Amino acid sequence: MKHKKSIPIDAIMSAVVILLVLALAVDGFLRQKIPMEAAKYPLFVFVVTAAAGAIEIVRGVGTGHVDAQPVFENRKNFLSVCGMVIGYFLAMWLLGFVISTIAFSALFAWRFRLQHLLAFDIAAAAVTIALYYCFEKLLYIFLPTGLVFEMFFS
Amino acid sequence: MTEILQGLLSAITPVNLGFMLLGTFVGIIIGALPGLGPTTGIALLIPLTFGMNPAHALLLAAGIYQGAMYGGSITSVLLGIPGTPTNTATCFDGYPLSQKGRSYEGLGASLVASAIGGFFSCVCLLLFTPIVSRVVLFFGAPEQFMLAMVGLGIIAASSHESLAKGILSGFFGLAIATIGYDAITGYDRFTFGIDYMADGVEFMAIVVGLFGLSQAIALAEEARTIAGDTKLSGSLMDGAKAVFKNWKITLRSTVMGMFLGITPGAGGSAASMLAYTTAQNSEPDGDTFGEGNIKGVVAPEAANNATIGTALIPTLAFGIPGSPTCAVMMGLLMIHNILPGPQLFMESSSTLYTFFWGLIFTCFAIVVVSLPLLKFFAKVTVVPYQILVPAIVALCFIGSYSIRGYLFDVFVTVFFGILGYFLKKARFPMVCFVLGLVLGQMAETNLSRSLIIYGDLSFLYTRPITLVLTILLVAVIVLPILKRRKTARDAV
Repeated sequence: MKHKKSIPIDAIMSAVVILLVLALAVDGFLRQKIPMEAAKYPLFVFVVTAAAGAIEIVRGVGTGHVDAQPVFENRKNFLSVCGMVIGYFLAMWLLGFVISTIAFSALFAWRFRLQHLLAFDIAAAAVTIALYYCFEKLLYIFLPTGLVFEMFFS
Repeated sequence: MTEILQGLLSAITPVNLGFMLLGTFVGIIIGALPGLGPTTGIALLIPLTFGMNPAHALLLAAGIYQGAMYGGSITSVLLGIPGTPTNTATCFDGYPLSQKGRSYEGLGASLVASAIGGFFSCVCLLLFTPIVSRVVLFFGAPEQFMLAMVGLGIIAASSHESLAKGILSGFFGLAIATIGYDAITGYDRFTFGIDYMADGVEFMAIVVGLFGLSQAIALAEEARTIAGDTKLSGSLMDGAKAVFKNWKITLRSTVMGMFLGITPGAGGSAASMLAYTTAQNSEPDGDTFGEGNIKGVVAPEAANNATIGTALIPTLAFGIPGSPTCAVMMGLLMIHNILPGPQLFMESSSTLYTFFWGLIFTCFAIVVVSLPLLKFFAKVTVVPYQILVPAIVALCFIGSYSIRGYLFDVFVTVFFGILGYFLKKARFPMVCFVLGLVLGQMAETNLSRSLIIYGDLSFLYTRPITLVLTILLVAVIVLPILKRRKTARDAV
């Protein structure tokens, strides 16, 4: 299969995995200085991961990454949804579940041009509030109230 | 025998059947909500049962247990979000089925496979508890370690495109599983000084991100509904027929689930993953697994629910709960004066057999309760993405937050959601990653325990069961490699 753009995604992701494992190794072995009795097994796991990753990088670059699927078919959409998801997480931390969820739903629907936007926003707000009370009153699971409100009310 | 019949007569009274149906309905809803599972469901039930008749309370719990174990597959098939950790393997083929407009088929197969798996497991619980409970005693740390190794060995067989990629994925899962306190020495490892990571990275937060959030990102990027341009085709009955048509897979997965259910520390997640990978590697069309093969739904769902009955055997026979759900269930039993242990069947047999029958009847109850709901649920695959994506993302966030109540887990979901998007694009086998994640702690802890007991690796050949498992491990690794080489030679 021929792809539009030649991004060696196999090799890049193998390198990312190696970097993540390397970060774990640096933290455990250098910063925390884990004693040998608790380090043998993870060390083995990390070494095998790095070796398999290195083979995959060579294979990925060498074979022209034939296995991979096309990446960034619609870069604009991808970046907006990732931005909104990260923003939603930050908003949930600061403003709590209800406000952040309503804002995220409204912003997403507006960005991706949903028809009947107002009706959707009202429905999303109603469902979010209902869900919040269901979790709090029926399941006794308290969804985030938000740092700002916690500070304000405490 | 008389007690078994008395239990049956007690279970089929209209009031008791009503409690079973109610419990099943609540269980299905709880299971379908990501992050909530049978443990939460039964834990929430406990305070409500203080004043209740013990039989009613236990039948309600039986319904919740059975319903929640099945309910998690609904979101796995429709949205690619596992409702409970044990339904993770169902996402691999369930969601691609929905993407092809065959969600009815996926839902029908998961429903019937769950019912069959649960039924056989609960019959085993009813009839063979005293005999089967002896098997548990043969499974010490060395056997559990080797069982995990056999599971990990399947990585070799599951890496169809590249063995290195499979090993990389599997060992990345193992590496993530090493985060947190070492179970034997108690040392804090690889936590970056973050307290939330001391207990490890939450499994559910990872899989919700890896499967649910990454799918939501892909839907928004491609600006389409789950089913795309395809119209909903097939029916629930087609899925049900597929379960019987593939009766060998159903039966084998059920037996695997029952066996892993009784094995301490293995549980539903390991059972469904191993049943999935076994089906993938034994079927002639194994290459199409992950692309919407109905067998990929049948195998994990049958295995997952087949752990229900047998997981209760060590709990009831020895008072040793094999899973968090069994621990909560044990709490419920004790509140109602049913004390697990060797004396259990002599002291409270009548109520207990009513409970066993309840577990069997709730296998049918999940079919009765689900049928009208599923036809409605399946339509979610044609809902516009502008409405569906915010709902999926919110559900993912709620799911990962509600497990421990940490926003850090939501961060983990976001991180693995974006990482998972790219890993899927690079066609990393997610099966191998999840296998590593599920079996990592089981392998490490039991290896350390075995080394403390034996001092070296001699347990691999001095204990009969570990010797058999060691031979099996070699076969599991070597045979697929030989098979692949033969295929390559034949192709030339």
